[in-house]
Amino acid sequence: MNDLRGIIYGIERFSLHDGPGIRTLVITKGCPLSCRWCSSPYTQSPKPEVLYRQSDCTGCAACAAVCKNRAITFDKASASVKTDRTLCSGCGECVAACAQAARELAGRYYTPEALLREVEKDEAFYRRSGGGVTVGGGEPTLQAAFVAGFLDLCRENHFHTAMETCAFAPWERFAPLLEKLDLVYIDLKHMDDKTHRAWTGASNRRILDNLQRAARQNDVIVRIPVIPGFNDSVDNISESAKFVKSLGNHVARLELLPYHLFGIHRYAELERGYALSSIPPLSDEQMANLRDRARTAGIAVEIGG
Amino acid sequence: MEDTQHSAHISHPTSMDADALPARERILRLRQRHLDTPCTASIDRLRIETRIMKQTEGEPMALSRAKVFAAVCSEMPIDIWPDELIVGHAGPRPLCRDVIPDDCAVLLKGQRLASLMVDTIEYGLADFDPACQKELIEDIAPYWRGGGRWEKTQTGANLQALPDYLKDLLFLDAGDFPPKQSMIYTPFFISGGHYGHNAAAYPEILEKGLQGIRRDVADKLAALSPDDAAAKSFLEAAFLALTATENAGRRFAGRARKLAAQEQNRQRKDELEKIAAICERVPAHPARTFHEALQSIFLAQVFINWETPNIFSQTAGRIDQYLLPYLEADLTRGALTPEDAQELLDCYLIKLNHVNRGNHLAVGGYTACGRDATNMLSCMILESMKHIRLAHPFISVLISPRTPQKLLVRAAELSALGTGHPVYLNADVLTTQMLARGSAGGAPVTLALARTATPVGCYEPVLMGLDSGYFYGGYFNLAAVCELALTNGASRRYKKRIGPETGDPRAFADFEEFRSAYKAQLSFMMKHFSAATDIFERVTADLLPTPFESSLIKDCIARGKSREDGGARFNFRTVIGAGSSDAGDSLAAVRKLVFEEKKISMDDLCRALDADFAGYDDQRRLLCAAPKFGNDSDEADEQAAWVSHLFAEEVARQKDTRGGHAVPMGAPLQYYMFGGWAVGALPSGRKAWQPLADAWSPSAGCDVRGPTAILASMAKIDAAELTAGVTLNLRFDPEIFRSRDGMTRFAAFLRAFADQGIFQVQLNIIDTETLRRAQKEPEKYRDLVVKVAGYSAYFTQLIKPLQDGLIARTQHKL
Repeated sequence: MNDLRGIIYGIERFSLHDGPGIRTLVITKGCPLSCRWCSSPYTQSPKPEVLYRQSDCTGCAACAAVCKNRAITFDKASASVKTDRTLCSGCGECVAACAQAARELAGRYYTPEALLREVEKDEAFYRRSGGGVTVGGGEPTLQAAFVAGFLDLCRENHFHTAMETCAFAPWERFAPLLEKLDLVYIDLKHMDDKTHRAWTGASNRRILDNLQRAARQNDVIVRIPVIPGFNDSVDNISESAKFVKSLGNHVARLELLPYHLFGIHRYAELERGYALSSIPPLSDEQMANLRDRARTAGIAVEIGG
Repeated sequence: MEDTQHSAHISHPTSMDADALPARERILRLRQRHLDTPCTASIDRLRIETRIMKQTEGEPMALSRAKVFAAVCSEMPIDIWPDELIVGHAGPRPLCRDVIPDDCAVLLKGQRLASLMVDTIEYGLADFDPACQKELIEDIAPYWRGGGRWEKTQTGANLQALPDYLKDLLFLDAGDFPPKQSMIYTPFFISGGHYGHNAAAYPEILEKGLQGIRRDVADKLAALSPDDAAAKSFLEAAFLALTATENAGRRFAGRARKLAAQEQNRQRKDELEKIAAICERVPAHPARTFHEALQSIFLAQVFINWETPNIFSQTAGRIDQYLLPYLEADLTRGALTPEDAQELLDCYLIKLNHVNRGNHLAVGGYTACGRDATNMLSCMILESMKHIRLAHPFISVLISPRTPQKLLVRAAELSALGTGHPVYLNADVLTTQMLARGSAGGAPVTLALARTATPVGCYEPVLMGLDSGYFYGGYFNLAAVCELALTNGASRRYKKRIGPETGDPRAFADFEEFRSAYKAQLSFMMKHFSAATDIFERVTADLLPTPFESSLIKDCIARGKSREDGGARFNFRTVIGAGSSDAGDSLAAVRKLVFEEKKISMDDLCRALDADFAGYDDQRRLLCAAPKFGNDSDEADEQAAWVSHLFAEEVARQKDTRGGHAVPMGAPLQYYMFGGWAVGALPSGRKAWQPLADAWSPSAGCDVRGPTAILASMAKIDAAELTAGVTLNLRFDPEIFRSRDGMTRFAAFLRAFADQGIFQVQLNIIDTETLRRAQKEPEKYRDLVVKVAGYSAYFTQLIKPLQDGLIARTQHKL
């Protein structure tokens, strides 16, 4: 075939939260948004990145010794190392050099065929459970040609296909993928453009537009990651629900995803700080309340995903 | 209720079927009484046995044994609990372990009896009352000690029969009594025990009654040629034993009647009178009702326990098949309501906790003609298990492509309770295993029979009423074999040569030479295993024939021989492998790092292993990072499959002493820990003396790619050639069961598992937090049931390393 390659953070088998049945979730790397609450910071950059667990580090500095880019410096005081991310090329030499496995390379390049070989391992489970493959991220539309090639292979093998997207992509890039998908999950982060810009670094106009167009032709599930202090006001949730109602019958339901802290340790591994570290997740009652308000718009609403 | 404290942590899914019935108050009370009853030990039975053995010295052993059984039938203390509808128990009271002759030496040495017989019990001489201690020391033990080497006990007789070269391989110190096993050469039955592991011809008991079977014995005796002395004494013994059971049934009837006379509550009085009438009739005579049928098979099982105390895995088998006609008839003529039927079944399942461990009921699967065997009783049995939530009986769901979704969802609901029940078995593999017996050197099994196979114990498939499998061919330490292949036959733990000289590994030219050494070590070990087991089998036949139980296995009467002596239609012995994943992972690591990538020299590897990796951190890191079984990596899986196949092939070469053959099995129970204590560091990166991987499951924590990847790895193992079964343990997060959708996906997971040709999967659906809390506050978690290694146990009664092992097992999240 061709030398089309995509960068993948990871492949999760036996995934149960990303579509019907038993699925394999392909986590692409690279995202055009920079959401302040992001729970998967290691999927933001479209390049391989080195993760570093300081707790496992003995400060032997073997990594610094092998770094061709001189990106790693040894700090005697803390007996640990620091990586200058602007210098790091993600070559992974330091990962191989670390005897403590304190460094990990996030991101691996796959051809569509190589990726298919991974996901077809669980075909027996797709067949039995009505499951299939979900491409998530990161943002799959950033690697649209690669994802399209991969989805074609999935369809040739009769796997059910789903995608999780923020829908922040030019329609010309988005539309060809939609044709290859049995189900699309689209995030709806905020109805107000100004707030959206402030928290994600991008306007919501293209997202709302893509959502409307996608819902005319695809089975869609809309998801709102409910972030305390950002989009958890009753007004915003009600307005979002009304918008979802307006999208028509192709939208099966609205899912409210509770904010969680499962990803924050990853910021430390990337040697970055986390903007929202002190915000507690919403209670079950608060989530149930928002769900009930959203339901008044006359649509199906569920918590979780 | 106190015991429900932990249950509150587990979300009990509401049943999705309208016809599922709630547990009645009676069942909750019986369950609580069971949990509140202490485990004890008693010499009541041993006292009877010792007296009769003294009296009958010099008579044919079968007759002596029958006379012991007859005396037990008329003298064994019996008990009926309030609320019980099904009565009987092994031992003089429920949850009481009979002391057996082989225990005497252990107790006198100041050691404690530990046994899974009544869950976990630790009982030393001082725990008996002073009169019993005195009796044990002065009257009972001296008889069994005999000339000083306990040669009247199985342990002593085994030792006497073993040639010195085998003693040297088997024991750390052969002069000690009972001697400590090396944990590398571990054929069983060194220290007492008996066959067990069977499903008697219960349908025949229901149809003919034990007295009907006694008539068959009489007919055979009448037709016997007068010079067939051995058959004559066996058949006379069987006749005597079967006669004695009638008396035992009457004693239960008498006890029930006496209690009825004292009973003030009208309803209970009626129940006791009914129990009396039923025990008067069964199992001596044919059963007519569902209640009679349950009581009949249960008392028959109690009698098997009375004949042979402290046995494992006697099993009632596929009761959903042979009890259904009784249930249907009662329901049709209105003699029983579905609610009452469920209650009776609940009572029966609770009672299965009062006989031998390893009771196994199977539901679903195939009929003899290959149709789906699921029926209303299959679902009711799963429902009963939800009601009682105890460690026993073990339940398996036999899955075939024809299994209805309803049964799988019912089973998933039971799984969701977090008790480790049920085990899921692949009915197609089960059938193939039975057919494969013939091709592996055993007597051929017909297709119709193969489909009716029933699991006993953990899941070992047997043919009900036809089989006499000796399940104690021993634990075969496949990880130790790997060590020996890298040490020229020397054991690191025992610091001596116990295998053949297969050469210095530094001289191996390629990977195949290493595998040849592995194979040579394995063959050598297998040969000596087999020789030792031959001896133990003969000792059992001579010392412990079972005239009663044997008469419930086809062809024993016709051949005039006990099951121990080859009377059964099908005879075989199992050899149980352990550490196959450790061996496979080690082979894979050596292949990759020593021979292919040459990142570690063989010399460095040997030094690293000798040093238990001290000073070899880099090498160990490389070894640990090498592919591991359980992640769907061909590099590792193919080595594990090779070890598994080699083991199966070598086992199948062995014969037993009863005209049968040896069959391989992958269920080493808790031996995976003990076996680990005898093995030094391995190329898999496992450190010295650590537990081995549990059965054929991946090494703890090495399965990092999720349950589907484990199943994919497992699917590369030829499960059908491991004809006595193979264990796969998984631990799931309870989260999956919190929704109907999750249940459906779980059912799909089960079907996909069966599609892959995997034999068995067992699950612990308990989160790590609950297990940790149970370690900290055991008193609150007394009823927390877990699957350990094919068997179920109460978590808080397990020793700490086993508890830790369960916690370490990778938990598969969503």
